Amino acid sequence: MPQFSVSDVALFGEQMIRNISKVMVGKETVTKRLLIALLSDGHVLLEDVPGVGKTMLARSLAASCGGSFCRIQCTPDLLPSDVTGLSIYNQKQEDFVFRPGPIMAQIVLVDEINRATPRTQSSLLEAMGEGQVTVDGATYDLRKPFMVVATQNPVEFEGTFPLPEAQLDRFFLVLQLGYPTAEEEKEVLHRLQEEHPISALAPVTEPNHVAQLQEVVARVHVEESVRDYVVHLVRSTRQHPQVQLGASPRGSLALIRAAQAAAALDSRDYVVPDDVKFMATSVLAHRLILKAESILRGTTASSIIGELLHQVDVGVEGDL
Amino acid sequence: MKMKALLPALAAIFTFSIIGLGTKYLGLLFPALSVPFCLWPFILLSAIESAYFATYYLGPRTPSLWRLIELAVWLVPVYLLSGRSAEPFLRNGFWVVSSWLMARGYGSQLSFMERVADHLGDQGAQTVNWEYESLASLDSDHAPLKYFWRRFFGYGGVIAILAMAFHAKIGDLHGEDVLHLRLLGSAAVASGLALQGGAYLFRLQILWGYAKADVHPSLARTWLKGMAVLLLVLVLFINVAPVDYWPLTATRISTMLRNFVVKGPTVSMPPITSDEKASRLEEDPFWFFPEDVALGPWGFILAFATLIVFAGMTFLLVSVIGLVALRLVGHELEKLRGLPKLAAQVYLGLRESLRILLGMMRNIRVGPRPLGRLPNVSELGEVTKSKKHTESMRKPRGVRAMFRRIAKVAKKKGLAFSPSQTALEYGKTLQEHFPEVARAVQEFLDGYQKVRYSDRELSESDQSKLLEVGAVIVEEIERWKGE
Repeated sequence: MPQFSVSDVALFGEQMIRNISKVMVGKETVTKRLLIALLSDGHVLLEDVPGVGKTMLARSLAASCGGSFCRIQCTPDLLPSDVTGLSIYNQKQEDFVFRPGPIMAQIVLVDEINRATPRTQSSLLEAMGEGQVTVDGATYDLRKPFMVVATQNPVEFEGTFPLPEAQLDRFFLVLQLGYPTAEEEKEVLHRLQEEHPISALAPVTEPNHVAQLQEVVARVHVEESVRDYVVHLVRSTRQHPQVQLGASPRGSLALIRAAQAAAALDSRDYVVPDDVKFMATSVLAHRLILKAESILRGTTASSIIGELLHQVDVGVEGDL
Repeated sequence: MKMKALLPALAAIFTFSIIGLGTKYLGLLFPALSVPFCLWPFILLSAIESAYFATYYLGPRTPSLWRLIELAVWLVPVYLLSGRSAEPFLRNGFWVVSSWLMARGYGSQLSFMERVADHLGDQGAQTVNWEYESLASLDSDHAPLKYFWRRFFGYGGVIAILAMAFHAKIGDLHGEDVLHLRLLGSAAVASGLALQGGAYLFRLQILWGYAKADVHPSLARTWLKGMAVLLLVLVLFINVAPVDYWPLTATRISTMLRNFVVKGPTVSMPPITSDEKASRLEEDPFWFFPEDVALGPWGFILAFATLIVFAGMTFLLVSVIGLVALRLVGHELEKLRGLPKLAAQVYLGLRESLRILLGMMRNIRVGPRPLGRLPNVSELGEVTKSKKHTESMRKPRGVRAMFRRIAKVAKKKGLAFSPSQTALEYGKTLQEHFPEVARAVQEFLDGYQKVRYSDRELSESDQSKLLEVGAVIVEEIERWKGE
């Protein structure tokens, strides 16, 4: 088995971004963050208005990775067994046979996740948290790498079920794509005029390699002061006067892991505070619950994280 | 200086003064209860340790075993110093434990003040009314300030009673006893009032912090300066002012009391003769110290050395337990509970302190001083100028020291480093202002980040190259005349 290093992670990142850019125009930063989630063994929630390319981003990621891909289109009548799979009676064998559901794929696109009922949403919890699925008392391990890319529309609330906090906390990152610029939109029109480039997208790596790169990321060195910075940052979310519930220790763990992946993608085997700052909003914002009066005032979790990034002491060289 | 760091020291001094006065008066009243000189450092140090530990670490989840270990650290040397006999040990141990407990109460209270702020902080700290009510401490659950007043007057009352009893029974004092009592009394009054005032400011600072009030950073310093002057004047007034401040003198009060006591029922206690007073320490045989040494400066040094050795051994043992515990759980601190967790934290703290110490030693600037003749007066101006130039160009040893130097020089030009900035963010600011050295800044910061955050060290040649790049940046910043 070849020994991978951070330079391999950086090369993987470059190839993936170049490949995905064939489909997604001008979304390099979002793609980088998506790769960070993949390398950190995390799951991503893409939250944006319809038609900005959420589904396409997930599909192009799966195509570039070369792993198995499945899509679950969430509706209110979707059942947990539609996600996890179910045992059916095989008359020939005179026994129950397990038929795996779409969650058994390596990259799973859960489209419009907030349209599924809480019962179905929670069936994703075990898969996302533990990397395994239990059906009829039998536990099935999911193949590595396993990543759930869920999407939801933040402006349409009718007939939707907002994600429970427990599940929201299990998403490693929440990303927004945003509208493309005029130039980028023109480029999209040009590229999609004849054939959609997704159909011609070839994989640039193998799923096994991704799993090994995840191990490389986990070994990236985190200096004590960076760890302190992460802890102070996360703790400051709990003490912020406009926040009802701050980020959990799972948020600290996710932030460290995300910073490790960001460092590895920059071909560094050590984390710097800039990596933490780069990932802080995507990792922490969705883990905060703001007070009702703050929401009415128009404060957002992202703005609070931004404010804290300007307040919390990074601890570069003590008092200068 | 942060109030939180200062207050435990004041609490420890106050505790020491009160215990010192108590032991002194009791020793004078009942010679059998007198405390040997070598116990005094233990009383002071136990108060300091207890106050700081309670302020910064002690919590409801601190294992009881840890508290017992802490007590043992103090009591075992006291046991040895008490000649390993029960009676003197109980007497001496009582004072050390009393000091430890009293200081612990203050430390816990300071820590509690912060916790109350945590609890109340979100509930509208912006309202002045709430702030006032909190300071007034009407609610007994949230009344940390009353704690200080009550104890100040309470302990003061106990000492006053002892003083009056002494004056009533024995009368006037002479010699070094007067000096001791005067010093301890002054220390008690000064530290007690400073502690009260400091606690009040500390409380205000917590509230202002939550209310996000714009407070001038030098306020605490001004406050402390003002209070120090006030206390100094007070102490001087009490001790040296040639004023007969009747009716406040202890002598007058005690004379009145003596008259009262003489007329009232008498307590049958044998009078103390000077021989008895002189020989009272001979009654306490010391196993560890010779009797004459115990009273002198050697007694102090030996007592201190005993404590250091014992505390050091305990610290080492706890660190070893921590190391073993960490190894057993695969360096996952979260899996540990109770004393093993605390031991692991002590071990990690020790390791981190050593690492910082070694890092500091590496970065220490040791500028070689050129030997030569002294400059004459006519050369002095030129020499001063060239010395200044040499100093500004002198290379700090180590890349991190060079970064600090760059930040220091840039600060003088108005480009101060903000604590919430990363090195790269600061570098961008420098690049914007000094485009001529933008590449040098980038090169230096790349190297700096490796030194600062990587677990590998740069080679000597890479380091010296970075130092040269840093020197170029410093030179460019120094040349800058501003915008």
